[in-house]
Amino acid sequence: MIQVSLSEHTIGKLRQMAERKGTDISELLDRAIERYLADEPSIPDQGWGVERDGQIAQIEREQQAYETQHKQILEAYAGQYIAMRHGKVVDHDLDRIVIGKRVRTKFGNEPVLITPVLDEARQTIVVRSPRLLENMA
Amino acid sequence: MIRTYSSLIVPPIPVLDVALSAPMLDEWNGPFIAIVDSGADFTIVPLDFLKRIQPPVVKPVILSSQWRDKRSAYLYEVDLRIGDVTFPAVDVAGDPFSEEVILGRNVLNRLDLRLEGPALRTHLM
Repeated sequence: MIQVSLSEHTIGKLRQMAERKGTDISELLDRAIERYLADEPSIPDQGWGVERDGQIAQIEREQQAYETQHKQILEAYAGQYIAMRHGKVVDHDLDRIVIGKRVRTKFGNEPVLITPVLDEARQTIVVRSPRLLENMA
Repeated sequence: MIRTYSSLIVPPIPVLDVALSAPMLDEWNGPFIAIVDSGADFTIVPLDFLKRIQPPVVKPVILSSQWRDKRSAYLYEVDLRIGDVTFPAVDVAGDPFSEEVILGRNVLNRLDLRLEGPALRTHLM
């Protein structure tokens, strides 16, 4: 974790945006920076880093398409898994393993959004396991 | 299979040995020591480990603690092996910061485990 300084003006706008989106400033900034970095040209000679940047840029575009269409997708596929490629639902199934095998057979390791269709468009994963740090300064 | 708790964390913590492969490739990397954590919704794997198998990314998510601090992360699809059992198409969150594998409930709920706390042993039934 690092600290950065931002102007009061920027903080004010971020606070308003975070309230409107029902999140906090840290999460909002984290997401915005990830999207910005994903769209920037990659630094060469980083092996998987370059390929991963491209995959993440693509999966962020799929996620944005999913969020835009979330209401309709929820009506059609609630409780199922869907696969989204180039902004379109290309597969759906009740079983994560089955849809995974079909997607990999058809598209290889191409970034295809695979997600359960839930009420929230961007899934939250909770880790409820704090650690005891003995030597906190 | 019986695995002794790890004493690197105090109090000692149940762990299992896992191996990872990109989906359907059957090219295994590991074993990695994975902390058994029923408080974690999903399994979390250091990005350095994922880099070795280069799995496909499947979705962005938000990682949150019980105190609701949040950060963005991505899920990757891997095949995961524990002992003789292979679990295909497991979604794991990539962790850019730590070197620990956390075995969360998306995998634990598919296992029959017994935690023998007094003997510091995990039994995979």
